[in-house]
Amino acid sequence: MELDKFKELWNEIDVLKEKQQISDEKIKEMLKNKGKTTLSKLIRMAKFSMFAMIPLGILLCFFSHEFFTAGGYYIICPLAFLFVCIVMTPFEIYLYRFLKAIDFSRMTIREVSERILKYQNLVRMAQMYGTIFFFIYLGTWYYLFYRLTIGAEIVWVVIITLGTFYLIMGLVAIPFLYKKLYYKHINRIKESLNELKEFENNNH
Amino acid sequence: MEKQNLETEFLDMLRNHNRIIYKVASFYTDENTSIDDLYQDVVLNLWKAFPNFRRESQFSTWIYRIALNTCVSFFRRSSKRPTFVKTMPEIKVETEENEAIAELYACINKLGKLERALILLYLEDRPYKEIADIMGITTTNVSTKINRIKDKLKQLSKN
Repeated sequence: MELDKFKELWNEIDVLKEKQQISDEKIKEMLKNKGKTTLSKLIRMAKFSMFAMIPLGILLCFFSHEFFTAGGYYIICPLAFLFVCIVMTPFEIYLYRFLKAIDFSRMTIREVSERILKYQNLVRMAQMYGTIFFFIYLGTWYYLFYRLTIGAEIVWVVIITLGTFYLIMGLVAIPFLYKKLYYKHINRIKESLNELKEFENNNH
Repeated sequence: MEKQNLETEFLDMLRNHNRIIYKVASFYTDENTSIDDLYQDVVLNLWKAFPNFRRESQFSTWIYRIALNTCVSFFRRSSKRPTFVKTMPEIKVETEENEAIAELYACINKLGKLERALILLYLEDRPYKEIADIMGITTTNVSTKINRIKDKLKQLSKN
């Protein structure tokens, strides 16, 4: 179909849409949800992550208190993870400010599109690395826990249970999460980025 | 009182330009994104930006920019989200051109988000300079892209 033919149809749709006037009461009801736009929700999540990193690191340390008690090189395990959480905080601050800078009323479609795609890309990468980090954390925690408690019979049940759980995480959950959280979405993001690149070509 | 005046002014503006919002939202609806959710997201973003609108441009240009930016940036982590407010029931259209309109939307659904924005502004008869300004590309690029999309739509229509 020719685009000009589309244009004729488009004006007909105009006539139909004129009939669809939404009431003022419904609009006022909508306006009460001011903070619930897609972008506002993303900003709120980024703000939460910004403040949650360091408490998360402290929590990871708390669950590893045996290593503090044991002393020596065992302390490196919880401290290393606290360090990673502290280092992630500037990244979360960067994401928050990145989103806050988006202004739909002043930016062009190309600029907004670029920002959102960049944000999505960064988040997906963070999710992937975060999952790997958590997996390494569990593995290290488990190994050092085993080293500390070796010889105590009653602990064998716990060790076997934790070991099984860890293997299931590694062999099943991680690849599944990778595919669900990262792989599917990143391909879509890549397609959109290609479209954006195409738009930027010939832009002179 | 001031808030009430602002709200009244906003509702007036919305009533006069409701057609634009609905048309933009209809361009970005798919099986995961309902027109109601897009419409509401656009209205909320317009309301957010309304107090700062300095009338440097026409209302319609401002609305197109915000509506398109909202739709282009709209993405969901999950397809299961409640709609805040149900706007209106689907109006069943009994016209001869029903199939042709369905074909129009089917072809548009195959375009990328930026291409849809461009083609929508073209269908709305906006001047190329305005399209370039909203899209953030040069006027020459607008012309080139529209010609490419025309060919693409012809191909999609044949298939």
